[in-house]
Amino acid sequence: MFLTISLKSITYKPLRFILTILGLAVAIAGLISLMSFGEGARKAIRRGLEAYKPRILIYRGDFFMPTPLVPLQMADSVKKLGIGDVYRLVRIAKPIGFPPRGMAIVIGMDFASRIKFIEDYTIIEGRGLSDSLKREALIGEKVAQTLGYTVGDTVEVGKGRYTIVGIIKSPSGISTNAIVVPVNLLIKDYDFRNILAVSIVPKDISKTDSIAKALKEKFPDYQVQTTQELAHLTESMVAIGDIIRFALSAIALFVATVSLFAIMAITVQERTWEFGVLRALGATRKLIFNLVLAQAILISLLGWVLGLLLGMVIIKAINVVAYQKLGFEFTTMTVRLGLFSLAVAAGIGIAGGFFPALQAVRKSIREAIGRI
Amino acid sequence: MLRADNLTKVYGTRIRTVAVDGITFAFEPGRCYAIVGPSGSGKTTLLYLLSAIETPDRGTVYFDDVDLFSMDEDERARFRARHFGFVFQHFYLIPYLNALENVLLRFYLKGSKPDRRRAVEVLRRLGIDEIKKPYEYSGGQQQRIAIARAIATNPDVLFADEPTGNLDSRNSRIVFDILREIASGGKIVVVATHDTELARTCNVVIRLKDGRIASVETGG
Repeated sequence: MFLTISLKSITYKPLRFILTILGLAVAIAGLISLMSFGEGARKAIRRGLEAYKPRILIYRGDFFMPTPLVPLQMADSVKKLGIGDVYRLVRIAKPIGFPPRGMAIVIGMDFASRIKFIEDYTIIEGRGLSDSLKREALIGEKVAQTLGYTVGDTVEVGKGRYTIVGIIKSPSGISTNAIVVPVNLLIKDYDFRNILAVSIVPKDISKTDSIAKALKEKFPDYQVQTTQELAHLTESMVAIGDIIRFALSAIALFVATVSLFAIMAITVQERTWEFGVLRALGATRKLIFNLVLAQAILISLLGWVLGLLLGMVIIKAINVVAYQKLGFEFTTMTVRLGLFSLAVAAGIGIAGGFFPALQAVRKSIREAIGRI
Repeated sequence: MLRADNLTKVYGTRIRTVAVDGITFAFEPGRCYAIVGPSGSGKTTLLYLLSAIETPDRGTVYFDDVDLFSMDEDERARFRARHFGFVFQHFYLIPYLNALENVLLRFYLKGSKPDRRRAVEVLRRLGIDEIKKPYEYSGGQQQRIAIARAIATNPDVLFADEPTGNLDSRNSRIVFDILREIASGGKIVVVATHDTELARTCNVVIRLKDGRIASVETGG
């Protein structure tokens, strides 16, 4: 009966509530689509970190804005320590097409290592690289589409020319934009003296932290970080972004809260007699308070459902455009984001309904019944 | 039994109006009581005090020896839901609930399981066969739905504040017939009314003047 009263009181004057629900839906959709960038970044970084599978990274500068400052010999020095598999990390951003129609990431594949060097990609056409000395390349699906390349064509990277032997794609899209060639040849083509990083997968993974500590002491001029530390670092960076994105969407959320408050205050004013009658018939003040608050929360939850759907449509649209232009999806809808937006919607309902609910029980029954 | 003991209600602080002035009276089950008097004589205030909707400045109301004003407001509300029914001049049906839901509302407020069969039966007994939204009924029908809402949970006392104030004479007679029938079923019915002719059809007519009982006439 409580729910019947709450629901029917909303549908009794549908237009005002539809407009309020729409306002809330737009604000929630804005929140979801903005925050989905953070979720997308988290997902991509997580997948990236899982895919590269290094347990320890040695680099210089900022890992996320890298400059190749690690001397080539560093990999050999680390290998000599015999602590695990070591490989060289080389990545270059390369404009593709002329005039440029996008950016590809050229990745060097280190055959010296037994570990997988790049995220879990799928070869959708052709085969994988066969030899560290053969001028063969794998190219991402997006790069192939943009340049019109297929298996058997030749791609230029630096001073080198490589025969495309396979086309790859991956769920997160990193490989979709990649050109993968043997790392030895890539270093030679660009005449690199330095590489981006050295990655180590310890033989005994349980000792990762103590090995990282020892490496920090041995190479004090370098950054030495475990995958876990990097994950924490990225998480905190994305979290800062989340705060900024939430602050941006807070403007719309504030407007939605104020409009819900205004509508609820007007409704309570109009229904004062009704609350008086209910109390005369035996309703407690608490019940009336809860009725008004429940109505506000119900409106905000309806706004949330609509906002969630709208947000998912926006996310889908952003991803379609991003995939067409850049070859990977920027935004992600997650259960966490859905629950967060639900909590925000419930918060709006409580904030917008609390004072009108107080207003509904403030008058005496006689005063309330006297108002029609 | 419902008993008013020295009930007094004063409105205003600077200009004081004594609406009910030291009324003591006992209402017995199985009887219909009409409270009559000119406007401002304190009819509605007395009704609101007796039903514990309003708090007295002095005196109290007992129902079966329970002092209604020794309870806090929420306890009084729950007591009203269990023992009292109320009918208003303006019907005050909840506009977005249909006739049946308006009646079922009483079960909800009483805290008991909504008895759909009982609600339909009471409505039918009062001549409401079709379930519609309140505005789709005539004034007389709306008042009968309001009475159905008041008596659906079988309260011990039914209060009616000018229940015929918005009705024509035919519907007014129907409403009073129903009220008398309820009283004859062993309930206490207390009606505040302007209509002295209809009031005379009740068992007891209490005439108020300036907040005091001017006369009590016992009839049929």
